Amino acid sequence: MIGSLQEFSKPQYCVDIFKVGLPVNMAYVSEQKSAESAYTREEAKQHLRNAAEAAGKAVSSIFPKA
Amino acid sequence: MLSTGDGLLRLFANHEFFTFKRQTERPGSSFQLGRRHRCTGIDQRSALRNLLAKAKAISAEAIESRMLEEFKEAASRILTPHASAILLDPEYGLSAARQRARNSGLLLAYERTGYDKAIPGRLPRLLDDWSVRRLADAGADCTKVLLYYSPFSAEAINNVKARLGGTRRSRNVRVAKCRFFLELVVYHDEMDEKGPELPASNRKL
Repeated sequence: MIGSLQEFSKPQYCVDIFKVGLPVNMAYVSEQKSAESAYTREEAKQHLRNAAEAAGKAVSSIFPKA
Repeated sequence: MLSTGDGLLRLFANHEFFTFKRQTERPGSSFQLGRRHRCTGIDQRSALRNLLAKAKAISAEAIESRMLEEFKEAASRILTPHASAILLDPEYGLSAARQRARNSGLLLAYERTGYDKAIPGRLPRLLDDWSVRRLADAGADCTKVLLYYSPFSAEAINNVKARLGGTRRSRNVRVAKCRFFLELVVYHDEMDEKGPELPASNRKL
């Protein structure tokens, strides 16, 4: 997702607003790393910050996808 | 916040270019950039048809268009008093757009529902009888396009998708005011979108 946002944040695309899903799968977030989880809560938050940053100057609305 | 400047936006579908123009200034619009928005989205078409068919225990083909329109009208009427904008499609959503709350902005989908599974790459296809000009004339504050994208796709596929973009300026006021709203749906052909692998792969990007 971050790679995609970086691509379409380039000025030639003239995107004003993005709608994207979450950069993490909430079903695999937990307080502690375990066999069932892909990332901790802190790591998940950092993925969100990274995605917002990748959207660059564009107004980004990061919506959870059902 | 964003200032893309004036824009001529080219959209690609069905191996042809679609061209439209716009610029940044849009006084008097209810849908301004740089604000926090709470949008409601009900531009689903085939997915909604399938849901209605399931609920009524009939085939998707037996669902009349009017039923989709009524569903969207109800969603628009009930939800837009609480939303800064509503996302609809011009196929079944125009009557719903007319019933939205006065302060609610309008986003209209420009792509066709779903994608052609017979062609690799989930290429975007636009609605044949619509243009950004027509969407703007129908009252759209934003033209929305859904794009499936994977940075790992073959170059030939992503080159097609990279044709969506543009530069500079319009004289038509309504078109000039119409924003470009891009819905990116990231995917990976070899990964399960519901599993942990797809989001986790973001770390490598």
